[in-house]
Amino acid sequence: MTTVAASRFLDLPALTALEHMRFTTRHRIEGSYGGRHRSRQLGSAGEFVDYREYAPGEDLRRLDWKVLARTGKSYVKLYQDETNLLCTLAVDVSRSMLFGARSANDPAGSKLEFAQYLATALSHVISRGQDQVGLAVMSDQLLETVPPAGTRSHVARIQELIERLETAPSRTLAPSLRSLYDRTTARGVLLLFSDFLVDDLDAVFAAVRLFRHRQFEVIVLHLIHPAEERLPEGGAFRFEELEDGTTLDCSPAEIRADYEQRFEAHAAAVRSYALANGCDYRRVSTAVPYLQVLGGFLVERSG
Amino acid sequence: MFLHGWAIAIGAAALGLPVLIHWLTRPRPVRMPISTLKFLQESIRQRRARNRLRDVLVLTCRTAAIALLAAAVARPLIGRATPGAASDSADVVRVVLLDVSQSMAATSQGVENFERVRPRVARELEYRPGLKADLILAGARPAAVSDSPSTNFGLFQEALATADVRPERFDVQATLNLAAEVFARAPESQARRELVVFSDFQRTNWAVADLSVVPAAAIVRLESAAPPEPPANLALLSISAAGRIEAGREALLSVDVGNYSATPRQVEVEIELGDTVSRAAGLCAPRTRTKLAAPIQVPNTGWRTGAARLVSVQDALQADNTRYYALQARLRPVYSLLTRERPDTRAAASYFVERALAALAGDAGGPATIERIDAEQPDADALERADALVIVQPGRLSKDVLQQLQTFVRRGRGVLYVAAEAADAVNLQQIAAMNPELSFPVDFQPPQHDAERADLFLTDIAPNRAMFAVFGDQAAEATGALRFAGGLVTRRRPNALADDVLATFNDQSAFLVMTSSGGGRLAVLNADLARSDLPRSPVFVPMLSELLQKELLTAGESTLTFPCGEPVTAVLLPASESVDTLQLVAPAGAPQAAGRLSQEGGSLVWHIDAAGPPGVYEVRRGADLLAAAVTALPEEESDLSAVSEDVLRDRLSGGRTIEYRGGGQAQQDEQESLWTWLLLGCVLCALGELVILRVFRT
Repeated sequence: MTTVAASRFLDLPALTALEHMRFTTRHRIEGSYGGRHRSRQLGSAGEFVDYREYAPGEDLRRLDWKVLARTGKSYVKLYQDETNLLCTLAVDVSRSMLFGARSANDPAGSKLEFAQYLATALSHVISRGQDQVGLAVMSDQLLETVPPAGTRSHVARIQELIERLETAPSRTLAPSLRSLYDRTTARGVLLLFSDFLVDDLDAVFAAVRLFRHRQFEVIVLHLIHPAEERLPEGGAFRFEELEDGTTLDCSPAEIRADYEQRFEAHAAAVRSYALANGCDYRRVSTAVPYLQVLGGFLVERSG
Repeated sequence: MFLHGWAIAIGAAALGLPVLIHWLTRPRPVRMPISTLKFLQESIRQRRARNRLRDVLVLTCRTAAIALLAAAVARPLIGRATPGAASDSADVVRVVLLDVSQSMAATSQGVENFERVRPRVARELEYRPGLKADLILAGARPAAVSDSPSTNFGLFQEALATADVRPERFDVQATLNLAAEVFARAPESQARRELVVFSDFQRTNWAVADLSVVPAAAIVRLESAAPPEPPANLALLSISAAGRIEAGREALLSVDVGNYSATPRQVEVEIELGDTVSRAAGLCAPRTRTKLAAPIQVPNTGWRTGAARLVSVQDALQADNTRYYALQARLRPVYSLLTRERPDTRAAASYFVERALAALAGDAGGPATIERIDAEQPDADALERADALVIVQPGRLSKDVLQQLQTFVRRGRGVLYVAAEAADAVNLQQIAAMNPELSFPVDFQPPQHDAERADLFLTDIAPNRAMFAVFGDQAAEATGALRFAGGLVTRRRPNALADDVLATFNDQSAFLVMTSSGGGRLAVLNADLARSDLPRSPVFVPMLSELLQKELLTAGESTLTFPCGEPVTAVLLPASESVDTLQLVAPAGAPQAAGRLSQEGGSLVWHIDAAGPPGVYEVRRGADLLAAAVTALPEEESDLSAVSEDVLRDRLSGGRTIEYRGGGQAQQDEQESLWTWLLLGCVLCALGELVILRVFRT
């Protein structure tokens, strides 16, 4: 089966190196379809719903021998009683995600673009694993939400939405997370793409706790641009806040060390919050190629 | 109050300079979007108080540094009265004396004494309510800028600005007298009198000053311009020919060098005479004058002028390192013998004299011609030809002859009168009566008939006079054995100069006296040579030679030298022609006129109110140089040692209280420690700023 790449962020040739890898979860999940993930509901009975490529290690009894004989390719049948992964990609589109962009009109190089690449790649990987992927676009409110599904057209739509992401001023993330929680009906995996440069970090992770209480696996992908970690060299700068345009004139030399301490403290706080709430935390530097990040992420999760 | 108030104004303006520089050089910030502004704000907020403290400290240090620098330059006068301002608002009449004599051009630490005091004088003459002042520029002829004390301070400042050192001495007493006159012209009887004197208080000028002529109630302030220690100085004090200058014959030019320092100095003097240059060198002992000599030769007769310079000398006063001179080269002298004795009379006085003169003729330095003139019928032309005249046994001379003789002397010739008989006493009395200048130190009287003068011997001689100095230390021994007879009785005249009596007999009568008139000299040898040992002794010829050549012939040879800045009336040469045919040429650079010439008593007389700068005044008829007179720095201006403060206060003050500020104290005041502390404070503030920036950076 082949998927036609409609989004510019979907680099299929690059993703072929990762096609053998699957997005796995460390927890028992609740899925609406049979999938390769261990289901809370045991047994293989149920209505045949779909084929899925055979992955080494799977039960050979589930192999469709007829298809193998006919086509020479190994596929397993999916029945209703096999559960699948319901992944929701929650992307933060606050203006701070534009940091690193080449210009105000060209988001290339920004954290948002990185998130778009990574989210698109993840949606492809997840969908190829016969899992379902959804999307939530978060600002100070939930701008867009697409429940998880697994059809090709659905994934294409997800990827299209990811491609068309635009930032909006926002200093809070908690309200959108709560809205997303209210709309979620089934357990799954929540992948949170954000730089967490918000004013309500406590409230954010309070909302995350709601997901955790519902047995969601929450993966926190903390996006950091290398230029955010330290101040630029130079004499005097007029720093302009991306969120609200506030400006500040200063010479970085005097406050460079203090700033770096504060930023690291913020990153440490996010990590601490995430781990304290049972989340899976990954600090993602946008200086590292997204494929490398994704590969490392999948390898680590596959155990 | 500040010494330089203008510095405060500049400093106040300079306080804004750091702000202006900071504003002009502030960095233009680079715009940069950021997502973590809150972290920046938190960092800055945390450092704001610290940065504010740092900025306050740095600004304080910078402002203090500039203020301290301005104050250091302005020289605050804390605890001292401002020079030039009275302590109260009372009326003040202030007379400022400024020494403009040559010694004020002496340099110390690269600065002339005159320039060192000029600003201090200016402060004394600044406007102040109730102040009237006058400025006296004090030299050889002191002059006040204003006839009476005035408030025209602009006039005084202008006069001070254009004032300069003059090549003159400082007539202290005349200046103090003038100051007293100025005070007397001040109508404000209740005003406080102040006399402020700016001078180097040279010992040679001030040693005999008397301040009692100044009003008793006047406050006297003496401001010294001289450094604490007198600077070393070398000077050319005089130039003269050692003897008669004869054309074509080598002569010696003597140069007196004064060494006013504490160490011996090797000195070289370069002497220019026309196109030729001679050199004299020698070691000059400290604090004394040394005579150096250099050979010269003038090819032709007539006047020659030249200059002598100290070579490669760096001393405090350069003006006295050069001296001009003038020489007259003559033919070999003609000696004439005026006598009634017959030439063939042996053992006569005239015989001995003629034999001695003949011995001189054979000498390289002796006369070219010896001429005998009959005293009974003297040949006027022969008298006119004589350069020196020896009168022996002339008998009673007519008035015409006596007149001719006194004119002879006045015109610069030399006469030796050997007095032996009564007629000689009459002759000498008549000569003195004809010309008051020819006043002998003794009266000559014929001896009493019963008091024969015999067996006389010399008891007092002037050892430094040429006819005795030729014998050196043996002069008394050489002349003590001589016995004399004859001659006239002499009686000292009241107020006569003892120096004019060159030798005395054991009976207190004079043996040898000297007088002068105009440019010539008349010597009287009081003895009968025919009856005395002298002509038969070996000392007769050298004594006679020295007397004629060094004392009588050179009387008119001495270079006429006059001190600059002083009035001169001098007989230049015997001349009977009209002065209208003559021109008086001043030396180059002389600002004033050369004076005037007049014809007085058959001689040419030069008059000038104030002799000009060092140089040679020439009297010419067309291209011919007939006479020359030299103007030179007074010798006393070369000795830069100053009168001590104690002498000024105790001996010269006239009993009044004097405020004295020495040169070193003035310099110390100028370099008062306060301003150095202010400057140090400025430096510390600048360093403090660096330290603060360093500390707050960390």
